[in-house]
Amino acid sequence: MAAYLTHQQKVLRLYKKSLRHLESWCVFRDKYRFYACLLRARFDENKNEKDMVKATMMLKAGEEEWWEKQHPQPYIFPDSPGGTSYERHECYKHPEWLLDHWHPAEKAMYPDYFAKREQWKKLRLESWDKEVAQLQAETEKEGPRTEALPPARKEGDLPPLWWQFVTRPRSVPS
Amino acid sequence: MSSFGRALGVLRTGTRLMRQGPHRILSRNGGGGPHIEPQYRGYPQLTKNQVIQSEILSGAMWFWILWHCWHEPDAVLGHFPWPDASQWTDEELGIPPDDEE
Amino acid sequence: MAPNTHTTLVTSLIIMILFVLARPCLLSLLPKEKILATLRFLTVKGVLTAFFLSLPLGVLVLCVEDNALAFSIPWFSTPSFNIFFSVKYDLYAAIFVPVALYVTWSILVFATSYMKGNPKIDHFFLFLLIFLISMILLVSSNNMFQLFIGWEGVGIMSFLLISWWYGRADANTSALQAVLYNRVGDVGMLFTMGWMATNLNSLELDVLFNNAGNYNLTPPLCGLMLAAAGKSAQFGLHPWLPAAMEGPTPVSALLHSSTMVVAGIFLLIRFSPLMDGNQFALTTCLWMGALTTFFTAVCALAQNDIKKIIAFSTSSQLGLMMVAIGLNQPQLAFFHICTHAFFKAMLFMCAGSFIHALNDEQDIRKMGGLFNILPTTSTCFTIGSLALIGTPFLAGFYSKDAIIEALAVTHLNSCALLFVLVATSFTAVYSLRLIYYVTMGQPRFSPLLAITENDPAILKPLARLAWGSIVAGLLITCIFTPFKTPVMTLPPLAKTIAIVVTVMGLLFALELAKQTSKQLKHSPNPFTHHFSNMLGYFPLVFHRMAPKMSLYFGQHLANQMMDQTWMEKSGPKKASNTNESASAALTAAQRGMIKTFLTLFLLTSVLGVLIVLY
Repeated sequence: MAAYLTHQQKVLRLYKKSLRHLESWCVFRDKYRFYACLLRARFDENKNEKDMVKATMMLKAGEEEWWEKQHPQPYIFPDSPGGTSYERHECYKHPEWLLDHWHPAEKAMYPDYFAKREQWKKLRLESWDKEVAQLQAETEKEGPRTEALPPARKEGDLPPLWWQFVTRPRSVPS
Repeated sequence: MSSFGRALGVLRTGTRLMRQGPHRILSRNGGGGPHIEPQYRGYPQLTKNQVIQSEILSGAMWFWILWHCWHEPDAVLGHFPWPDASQWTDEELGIPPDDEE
Repeated sequence: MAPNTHTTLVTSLIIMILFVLARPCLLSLLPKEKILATLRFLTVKGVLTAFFLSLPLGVLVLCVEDNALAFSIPWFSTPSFNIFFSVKYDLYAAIFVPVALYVTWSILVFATSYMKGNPKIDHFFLFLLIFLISMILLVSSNNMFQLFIGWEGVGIMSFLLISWWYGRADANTSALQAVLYNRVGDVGMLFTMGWMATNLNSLELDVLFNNAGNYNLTPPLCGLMLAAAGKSAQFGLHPWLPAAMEGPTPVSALLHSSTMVVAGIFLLIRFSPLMDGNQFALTTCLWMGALTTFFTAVCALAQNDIKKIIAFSTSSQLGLMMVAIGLNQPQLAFFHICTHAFFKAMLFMCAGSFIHALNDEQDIRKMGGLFNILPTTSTCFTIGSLALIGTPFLAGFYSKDAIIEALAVTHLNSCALLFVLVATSFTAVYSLRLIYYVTMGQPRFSPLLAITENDPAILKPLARLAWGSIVAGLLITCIFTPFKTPVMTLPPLAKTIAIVVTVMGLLFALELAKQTSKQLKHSPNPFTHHFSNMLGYFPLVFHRMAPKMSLYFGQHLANQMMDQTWMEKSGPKKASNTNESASAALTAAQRGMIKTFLTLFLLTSVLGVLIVLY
């Protein structure tokens, strides 16, 4: 089940976060490459370990070593959670339904856009029931396991909740 | 003097012709400065203005520092020599000699 | 010129400056789209005009006898208490206002480019302008009430500007943090105001100075020091300043480096006549400053965010100013405020230019080699850093060296001197680290570069401030005659100690840089690095301790007191336990055992005999 990671996934995650923290420690790229190779070699050394008890103990030791040597301020990409410009432009984003509340006189100022929008809304009305039906059919009894939405399965169907994608506000205002 | 200037002009044109590689700086003046193409895996083109301005600024800074270092080093090293108290004689200080009763 | 003409001229100039600055704010009230859309240009022009108006004002002030011009207009009065609108335009204001206006003008021009594309850019400029007006109100007021208005005005604008990107959770937390820390300082300010109102029945500063001899001044000075510590991010109340870097970079350049944070120091400079004889206040300031300058310099050493490093160096310089106050040399502190404004604002603007060019990247680990793509910005950055570490004859040298000399020749506190000297050499270390990681070496940033510095709105203000930080030190020295004779004759060691420790710091940093490029271990000695990197664990301890303790005790109180004591020991459980044991005893007694009957029989017969006998 998805709630538990396999041993392989755990090792891979340990490897990835070790690399990231190593990158935070080693500022210069050549040094980073060198130590990354050493790290890779350490992981590769025991990749054929068949004894699960031993492998789990090694994973535990690896996690502990990572905890010892982690960087207190790891490098975070600016637009990732915790980064310096994460959520920066949230305040400029507005939900799309606000357009429904425009005055007809205001709407008349953008005739092309609103004409197209009416067509979109019609399309949404048509496909909504199918989207919900598909989602209900594909969701398991104990609830969804992932936030990722499924693609459209049948010919001519639209993917579930496509409206959120087409009307998503721009991430950076321009 | 004018011939010298003309020679310089010819040289400048010559170097420009020599360097006629990929012309990336287009002389467009829409957004306040020249248009610089975005670069991938390469340094963007620098304009002359940037380079000259940076040279002038750092040159001015070094000139300012060195000129002042030359003309008024006492601001760093002290304005007046610190008097050495051990060199003072008793006469200067008005201390009578020890054997005087 | 007759003094009357003077006063009229100065008054009209001050009013003109205030009007020129207030004009865009007033215009923004008009419901005209066109004005609203060009407000930023109006603001820039207004500030520039105000700068040119403030120059003759400064000259006028320098011309008069006691270098101060004051006027006061009754504002509102109650039967027992009057409040005046009183302006004192003295030497401090006369120098600080042009400097602030010049720096603000450069930053505003820079912001037109930096904030380009923000939907609310004109509001942004209005905020900066309102901030500037409050700041001018603060430095020119001769009245506690008016000063408090300016004081709170800059605080509110700081809050609004830090949380400029209000959709971002971190920005909101930082803004709240700034406001809360400043409230701690405001308690001190209000306390002093209350003290003045009760003891002097006036909020005028002149009344306070004239009657200072009759009172014990320690309580109001404590209030003022608390206020200054809050506003100027002194040790204990410092964590809001690095957190304030969540705001846009022009805000960091204007508010959190050059103008707003020096308001606390400026307050103490204003009240320096009171501190003259008060040894307690002076020693407190000296220690507070020395501790701040040392601690924040340590914090700056291992930071990775370019703006945080500059913020910590600001805090460190504020500590140095506080040291100058503690030495009873307010002029030196003021001098450092003025020179610091130039190069610190420029450093922040350079940081903004770097960040912009690298698509919002702020981590210096991902910079490097920026000299090749942003030559002018890098040059200005280097000039600013050199001025900051006190390279001879740049702006920082004149003020910083004077403070350290003044500290070195007094026999007040050699421990404070040691702290300041170590902090000075650390300044060199982290400045060189910045230059080394940001401008030199191989590039480590993402390979797509879209924006360069090639915009007059970036290059021109940078160049202006760079010229400022080259020559400002000497210029202000020429204008500004200190009230106390500076020490000219010094032992060579005391004279050269500042530059010696700086050079030592530089050499040390170079050696460290050499070591880093070898990098024999993948991770360094953790404790010292982590101490500096985690800001000395200060925010961790102080921000987390209180909630953690209250949660812990809350849980344990609920658990131990209510549940355990009430339920288990005295409540229902206790009743059931007592009953259980009692019933167990009874049950044991009623098992029908012959021994029990015999014992009971014996007991009652003995009792009966005893009763009969006695």
